[in-house]
Amino acid sequence: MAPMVHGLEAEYHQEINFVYLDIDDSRNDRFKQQLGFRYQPHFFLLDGDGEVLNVWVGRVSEEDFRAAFESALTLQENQNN
Amino acid sequence: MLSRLHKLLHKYKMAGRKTLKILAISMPVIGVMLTGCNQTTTTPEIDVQDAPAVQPATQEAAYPAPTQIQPVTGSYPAPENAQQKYPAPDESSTGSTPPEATAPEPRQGLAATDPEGVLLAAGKPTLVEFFAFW
Repeated sequence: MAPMVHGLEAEYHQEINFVYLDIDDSRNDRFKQQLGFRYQPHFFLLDGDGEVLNVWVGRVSEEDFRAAFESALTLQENQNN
Repeated sequence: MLSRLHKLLHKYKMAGRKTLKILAISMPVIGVMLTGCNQTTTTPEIDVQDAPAVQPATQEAAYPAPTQIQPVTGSYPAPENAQQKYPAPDESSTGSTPPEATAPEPRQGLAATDPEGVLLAAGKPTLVEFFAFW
């Protein structure tokens, strides 16, 4: 899924942070515990305050990501206004 | 004629006496034999108090010792056309596709983010992906 996510990153990198955490890196254990990681690939979409908006486990379609991104951006704009 | 009849009667009388003598002798002998047989078949009375205590049979003695089965060391031949019995499922026939297993696949050009610089509350939406290089 990396090419698809990277393609979305190229499109949304101005509005959305893209973070890739290696599950074999022990320094990421705190993020695993904080977000409730189960197995890879595991995706979390967070709002500006770090609250979890969406969670995906396994294969995710590009359309699902896009819909979630647009919803998160809309929510972010409403909060800013 | 009369004399002949008289002789015959005398003859039968003598025969009857002989028979009676044989019976008289044989009856006591038969009686003794029957009595002897009767005594041998009767079970002798056992004094329960003097009889030795009977030990109950143990369960181990009741069953034979288990026999050890030797494992079969031969190899069984593979069934013929075993793979042909289960053809690959046709994707068009399945209604709903189950979620794909997370089989490791090479990720080209993927670089992990430095955890030290990660801030989950970044002030804007953040997509976090947990992944593995394997």
